[in-house]
Amino acid sequence: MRPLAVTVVLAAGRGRAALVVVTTAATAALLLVAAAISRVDGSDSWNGPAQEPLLAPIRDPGTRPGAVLTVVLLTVPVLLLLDQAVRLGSTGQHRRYAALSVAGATRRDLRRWAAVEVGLPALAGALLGVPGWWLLREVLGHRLAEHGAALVPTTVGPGPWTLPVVLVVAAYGALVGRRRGSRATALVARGGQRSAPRPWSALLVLVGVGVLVVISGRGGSSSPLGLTWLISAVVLVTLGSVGLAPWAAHAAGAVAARRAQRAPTLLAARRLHANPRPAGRAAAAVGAVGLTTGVLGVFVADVVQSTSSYDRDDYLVPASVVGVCALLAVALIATSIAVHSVETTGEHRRETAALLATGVPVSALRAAQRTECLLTTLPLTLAGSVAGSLGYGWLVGASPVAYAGGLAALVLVALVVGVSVVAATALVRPWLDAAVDPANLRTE
Amino acid sequence: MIDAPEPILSAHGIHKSFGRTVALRGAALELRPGECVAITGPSGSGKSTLLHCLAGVLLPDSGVVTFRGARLDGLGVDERTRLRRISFGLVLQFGQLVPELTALENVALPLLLEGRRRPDAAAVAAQWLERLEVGQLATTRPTAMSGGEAQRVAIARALVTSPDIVFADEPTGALDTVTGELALDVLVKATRETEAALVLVTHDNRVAAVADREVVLRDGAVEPGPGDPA
Repeated sequence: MRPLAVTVVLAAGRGRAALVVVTTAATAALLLVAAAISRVDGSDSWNGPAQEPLLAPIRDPGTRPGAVLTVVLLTVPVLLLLDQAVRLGSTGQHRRYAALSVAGATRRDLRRWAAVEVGLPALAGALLGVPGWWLLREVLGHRLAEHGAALVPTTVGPGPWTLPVVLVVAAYGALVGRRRGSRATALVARGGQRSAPRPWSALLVLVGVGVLVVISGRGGSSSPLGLTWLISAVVLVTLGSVGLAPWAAHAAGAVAARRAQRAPTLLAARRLHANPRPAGRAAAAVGAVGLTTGVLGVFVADVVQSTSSYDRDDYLVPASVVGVCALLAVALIATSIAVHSVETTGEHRRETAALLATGVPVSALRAAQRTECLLTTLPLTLAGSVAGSLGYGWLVGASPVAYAGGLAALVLVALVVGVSVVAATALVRPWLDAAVDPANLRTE
Repeated sequence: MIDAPEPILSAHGIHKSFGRTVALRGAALELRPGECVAITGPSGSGKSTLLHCLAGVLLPDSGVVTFRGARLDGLGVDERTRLRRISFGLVLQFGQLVPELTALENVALPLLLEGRRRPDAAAVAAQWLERLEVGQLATTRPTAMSGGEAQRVAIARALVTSPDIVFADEPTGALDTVTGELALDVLVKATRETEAALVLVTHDNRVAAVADREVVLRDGAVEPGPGDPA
């Protein structure tokens, strides 16, 4: 007989388990890279460890924390994808939990079940993160070192410190599963739907902006206390913006639905309006990516314009690495939004099949899916990019040419978002096609 | 003697299987303009499959379905989809309305897909909602409607393009007796007013009784009627 834990995981679906394994493996590998960078030989000389030709910002003890933070931030889009992966099959989970609830399972039992459903594949993924890290060491460490500078340290090997990283990732997976389970059990208990998001997070943004205004009024943030206030204000604005994103998605969906003239736009806008939370969270991340690329655009143009060609690589290579990572993150976020879109389509497969039966072409449904993803990602990407370019440009007193770099970054990131959305929705097309199968019309 | 009008829809020798399960074995049916036909039979007799084949949702494995003389299997997927949108209306047992759209938007959807401007489509949809006495639900989502209300909205959506034929698959199956009778009354009345033919799939004799003619399916084939040759 199959062990209960395996039965629990398989009940949630192999596809979901596989996606959880992949995303937690990627997260663990990235965190291990970040930990390895932070453990690079403690030498505080500019040259760093003599035996390892690392990229300047990793080699330099002054910029190394920034490099660590950048790698840690790279896990954010992967974790978003994990969050969406955990949502896969939530209709089935809701039904399963309702049946178990009727059979006598308590809410506590269901939450434990949910934690195992995700925690076990997350543990497997976190363990696979170790060979994943090894692979990155080989490709982005040894191989790149042969051609110049390595991105991943090769002198830091696994040690006792690896275990906490693996366990933290596995525990996070279990926590996400448990949280999802709590929502499912709450829905079982209420039998209803969640209320619309409220803009309470705007208070955090207002407080953060207020602090920033006070700091600038008192002549800046050069003192340690001033710096603490500045960081606190930035954290408040960031948290507030992230919290505000679902409400913004809800509002954007409502506005787009009122103005929609075409059926696919109307379907997309109403779907966003009805279920704005997952899309809003992803949109917040994509807004952050837009902000990063906006800053990078002005930064790169400024460096090209004002730095001698001899020093240029020291700035441009790290900027290019961050830029590539940011664009990769956009692709991951677009995928996570497409997965969310597929999930909601699967939840309403009878209605989707009925749409096709009543004469809505499948091309309109595909267009609605693409529009929903674009509606979620594009406005915030562009807003983030503009804010990043203007903010950074104002801060460093950039020239008009540097602002042109920001504009180029905006066009590039918009193109990447568009291509990512088209690719991600094409990737999930088989699930949409399965949802419109006339077999879903059959009464049970 | 007045000749009967030509059939608007005809199906002959329809066979359809799902894997090893044979759903239809040579089923046949003819439908004349404005006629109301009930397809009845026990569970698993192939009623819904026949309706899906007649409406072009499914293509039969063998046999021919023609609408106004044109074979449905000769049309492409997009052409059949457009045919269902313009010339056919479909009413299902449940789950046919888009949960995220309001009643008005659900009814206006086929018109928007036909390229009508949204205010025009909304005006026509509103007229149909009023006609079916659910005008007050225009801004309500299906999840906030009763079963009977949702069925009326679905009937409005099926009729909004003034189709030639309305196909209804167990239209009262998910409703209580009183609500079901009201919904059926609305459906039959509305199709008669618009002179659309109506194909009703049901296992309920009371529903079948409103039809001009009853076709009984058993094991995927049409049972001969009392007047038919043996």
